[in-house]
Amino acid sequence: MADSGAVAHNRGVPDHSLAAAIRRTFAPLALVGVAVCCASAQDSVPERFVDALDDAGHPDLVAAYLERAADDPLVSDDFKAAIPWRLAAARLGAASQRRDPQRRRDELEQIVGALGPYAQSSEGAASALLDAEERLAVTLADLAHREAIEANREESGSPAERNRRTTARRRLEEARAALQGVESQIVAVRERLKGARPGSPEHRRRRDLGARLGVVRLLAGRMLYEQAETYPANTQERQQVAKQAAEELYELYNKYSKLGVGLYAHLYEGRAYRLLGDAQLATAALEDLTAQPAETPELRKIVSLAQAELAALALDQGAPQRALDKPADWLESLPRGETESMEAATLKYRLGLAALATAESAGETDARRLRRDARDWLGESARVASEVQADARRRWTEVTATLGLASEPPESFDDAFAAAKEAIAAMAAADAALADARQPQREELRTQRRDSRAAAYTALRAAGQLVGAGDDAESVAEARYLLAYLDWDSGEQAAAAERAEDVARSQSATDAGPKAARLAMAALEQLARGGDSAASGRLIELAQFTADRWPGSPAAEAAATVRLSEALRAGDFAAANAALAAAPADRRVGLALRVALARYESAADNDAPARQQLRSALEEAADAGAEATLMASAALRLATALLEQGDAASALSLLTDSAYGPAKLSLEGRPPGNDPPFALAALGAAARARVLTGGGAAEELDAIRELLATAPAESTGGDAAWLRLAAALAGDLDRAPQRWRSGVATALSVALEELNDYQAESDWNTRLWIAQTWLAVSESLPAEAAERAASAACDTLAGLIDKAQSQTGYAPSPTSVLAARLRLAECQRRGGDHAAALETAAAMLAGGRVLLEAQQAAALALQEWGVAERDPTKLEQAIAGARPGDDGKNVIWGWSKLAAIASRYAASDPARRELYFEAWRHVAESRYQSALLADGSLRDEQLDKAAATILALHRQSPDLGGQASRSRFEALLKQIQQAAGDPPIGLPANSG
Amino acid sequence: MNPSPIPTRRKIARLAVAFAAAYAPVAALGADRIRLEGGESISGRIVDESAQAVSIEDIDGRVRKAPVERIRSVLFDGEPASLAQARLNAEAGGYETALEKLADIDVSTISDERIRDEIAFLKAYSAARLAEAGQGAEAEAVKPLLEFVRDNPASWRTADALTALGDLLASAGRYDQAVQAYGRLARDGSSEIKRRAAVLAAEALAGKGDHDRAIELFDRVAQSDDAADPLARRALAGKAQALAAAGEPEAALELGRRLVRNAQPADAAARAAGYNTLGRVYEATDRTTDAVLAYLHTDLLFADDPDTHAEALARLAELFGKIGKPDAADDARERLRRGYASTRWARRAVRPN
Repeated sequence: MADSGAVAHNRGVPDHSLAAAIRRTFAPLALVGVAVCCASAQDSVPERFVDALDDAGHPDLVAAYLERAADDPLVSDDFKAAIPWRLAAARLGAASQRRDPQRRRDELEQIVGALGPYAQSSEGAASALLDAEERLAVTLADLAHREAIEANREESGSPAERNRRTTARRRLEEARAALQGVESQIVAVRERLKGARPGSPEHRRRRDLGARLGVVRLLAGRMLYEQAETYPANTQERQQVAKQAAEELYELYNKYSKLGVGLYAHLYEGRAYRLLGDAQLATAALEDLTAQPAETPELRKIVSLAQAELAALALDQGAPQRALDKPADWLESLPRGETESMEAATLKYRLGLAALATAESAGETDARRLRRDARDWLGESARVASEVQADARRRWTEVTATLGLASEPPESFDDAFAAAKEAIAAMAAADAALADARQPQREELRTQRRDSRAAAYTALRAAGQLVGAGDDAESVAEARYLLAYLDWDSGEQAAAAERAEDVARSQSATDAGPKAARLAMAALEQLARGGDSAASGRLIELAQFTADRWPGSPAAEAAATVRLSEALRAGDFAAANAALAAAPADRRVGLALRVALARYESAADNDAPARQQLRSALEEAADAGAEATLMASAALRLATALLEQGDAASALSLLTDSAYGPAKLSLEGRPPGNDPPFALAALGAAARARVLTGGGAAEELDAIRELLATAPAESTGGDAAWLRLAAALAGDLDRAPQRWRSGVATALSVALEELNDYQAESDWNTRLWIAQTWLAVSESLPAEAAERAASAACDTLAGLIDKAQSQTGYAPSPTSVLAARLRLAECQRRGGDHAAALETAAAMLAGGRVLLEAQQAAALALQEWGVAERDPTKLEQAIAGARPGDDGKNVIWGWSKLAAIASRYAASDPARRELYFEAWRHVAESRYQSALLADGSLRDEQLDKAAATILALHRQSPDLGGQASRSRFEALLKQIQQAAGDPPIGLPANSG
Repeated sequence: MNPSPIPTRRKIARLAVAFAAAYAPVAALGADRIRLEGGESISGRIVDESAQAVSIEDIDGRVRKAPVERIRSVLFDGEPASLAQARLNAEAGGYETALEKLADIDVSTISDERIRDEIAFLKAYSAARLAEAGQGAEAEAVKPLLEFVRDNPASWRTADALTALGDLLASAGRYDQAVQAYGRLARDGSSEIKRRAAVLAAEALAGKGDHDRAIELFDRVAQSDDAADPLARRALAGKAQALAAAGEPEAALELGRRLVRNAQPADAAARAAGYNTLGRVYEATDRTTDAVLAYLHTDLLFADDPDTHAEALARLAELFGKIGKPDAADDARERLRRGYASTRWARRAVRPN
């Protein structure tokens, strides 16, 4: 039976690590997540259910089930006792899937910590702990590996490079130690399982652990190899560590020579020998691999990596032609479908370098051909995620730029046009590389791009001058279009529009015609947006021309969009509808959605017809399979409106729609969900919808956290995003039905937690709102969480008051501070910190001002403190007052005096009247509570006094302050009567 | 037992056929057949039929009486092959196919009135079941059933006809009339049929919102508390749902748990019924995730019983969407369609837009 905590490793996480490669390659051997435990538990429904949920792909429901199982009478006590570790184990799958390795590490460390205490007493927990420790070790290896790659990208010899290498080395050592620790544990467990009956769960467990052991050992060996790389070349340390790595990896190869782990070990052994400078041993190891009968895709991947390494080795030895020949042949021989793999990308990168090196000593024509080959290989490599991707992209940019800068003036139109196209390709290459380049490389790339653009412009101008009657009309039009494109690229919109419109109208029969029309429309649109009214007119005319000239083409679609946009921009829905009617039929549904969205956005919030039109347009667009981006925007608008109307289920359905659901697209990072502000809005709405339908919002909240940590703050608003979400959830908390309030409060508490740092810098009102919201949250959460929320409210209020004291003008008025102090006393009391509550209230009274609310707070704190600590003295003080002042009078009055003071104004002031009855009720209640702590005659006396207080008050004012107040008195009196052994008859029947 | 004291004209005609068969040559004997629940079947010559039982004389001249609640079907000597196929289709829930097969039969060429009645019954019954699942007009389906019951008060099929009639009326929200139909079913039925009728009537009352009367009727049937008794289980499940709807969720949940606890470990149907009951109670109290987890017990651990498994899948197909798992909802819907296409659950399952 599979253990509940065992989930396949890193499921769904893009992972280019060696471990991932091995897992992908030899999946049957690498089921590192599978564990076996507790054969005796097979009869248990909860255990089987947890396993089945996990197997069925519902790890989120495992946690939901475990949380409920604690209160489920159908679940045995034994299972309940195991819930804490099972919950930790259930988090393992999700933690392993975190894309951010640091976050993955943090969560895995927490899980390891949570499982640790149970491992001694539960075999299942021990098994889950081993899984968690293994995943943690693999994650540490991943982090260390990334650090090592970053170190290699630093400028050689720079202090940054030295620092990075030192850090990488330390991390590699730590990861290796963790892997070795896991290795020892797996060996020990396997030893215990020796002799298990074939086919038994124990036997399967032992076999799985065997496969995992190989992976762990391989990673440990690799860490050593990478450590060697962190030492400067030609140092003794590098030699020593590389030698050790080579030997260790060789042993591993011998041990697992028939398995993937062994072959990968041999590959790294070859790399280690290359690092040592021992070309002979490196070649021997690598050629062992290339000589393998590579009959399966998995084996061919290893051979591709070995060929790549052999190419690198040949380059080291100054034999670039050798680096090209066999590896290129191997790449050629790969079946279609295997040339896009990460391994093939690595090989292409090496081939690109080899081609560049070969070009150095070749004649001009051959050199150009070789550089083009290199550009192609490097470009293909740069498109695939791999360890060499960044370098491939950089080298591709360089070589593309070299090819794009023609060295000699062109002599014909064709030469000039070819040179221009090379230069434009170089611009595109620089753009691609800029996406993830750092300084100073960014500056270099920008210069490259500028140079390439200038070269392209010069070449195209030359082409225009060299054009003759015999030149190809298509090429001529294309050249003119490209020139317009370069104008547009440099911000010369007017020139771009002029040139492109001319091409579109005068050379409309060429392929460049419709492209030029689109470019001209784009340029004119920008000019129009800038206030150029003439451009606006030209734009509409050109759009009409385009729609008529190329009906059904992408240009006509763009024209329809332009016309529609212009109409919408002008707020002219009639024109928009006309444009819609004239749009190509297959585009109409999508454009109709745009119109509906624009109309909805311009309408009032509660405009039901606009909302209904948007809903219908969205449904039609979805049926027609329209573009997801627009549908997602519409869905987000509608879902937000539905949430405000209280229809969370429909909102959730829209937000998570499999085709256009904004939250789904955001979680998957697909447009428009890859736009941080959109993703924030979508995930926030989904979190609200989930909690308002009884679900959990952990996934959405995690994604928001991750987004805010990774996206630029200027695009997301930083922590203010949490404030917006918290405000929305606070509104939901007020509106939510009772049964979902706890879920809403939980999500709200997550958002408030995230505001911890933010609130400290916030203004008075924001901070006070946060504190009050914490208090509101505490009323809707289960006991323990409620206490934490109340405590957070107290902390926030205390911080607020401190700041008001230290910063003049921070609080709007002294009264605001007093109100905040009262709230602080209240939340301290609710959180069970009666001493602090009393101090807060007492501090307000020390100034001498009569503050009845503060007196109430102090008396209530004393009373509840007395009950909590079973202290009759405090209960007495709650009645009679405490803390004599200099004048001998109690600073804290107690309920009796409060009642007496309130009685003076009770007749004329309803609030005082209410306080009057409330104070007397507390007097009676305190006596009753005191009686419960006493024995014998003292108890009887207190009960008598308590009852007498109520009855006397009742005689005096039969309504006892109104219906609600009377009911409370009645209930209290019945309790008193019952405690006294009398029939609980309550107040005399003939009155009130 | 309360057989009609005066045989109707149709009953006399039917018995005449039976008597005619009794004097037929011995070689022709044994052509009628009663298939019983549990797989047993008795061949011979039907010599008597009432709303409570069918009597058949076997080849050795022994007369055996099969109570209605034990009869799965009655096959008649000389019946068309299409009728036999249609009957099997209807038993398996393939009502459309059954109607197609029945439409192929030219009734005017059949002289045996028993066979004509069986055809009329199967047509009415299949149409009613389809209408119950929203695949036909309810008003049009009611009429043939009423006619069959009126014309064949002594047919063993009357119980099935009344049950289908009640179910159809209940599905259309005509609960009072449904309760009347079930009342009539109970009136002439055996004790076992009376129990079944009581459960059905209670379910209709619960549908109407008359939870007190529903619970009272459920209690009558559930007295045995025998987890192996499907009717008692259904009554307990119904009571739980009625309690939940009446605002007593804790009592309802406790009943659901009792069903789970009392089920024998090997009795997947009983355990599934218990978890489905919990699912329904949770649904009634808007605890969607709890309901999903309850139905998932049936789906993942106790899926051997087709009816309870189909119910769980149908509910999951709807509820998964509500907890933000549309893919899982699609998967449940697809498994329901593939595995239990002809069940009432698949017919009623909410289809995606």
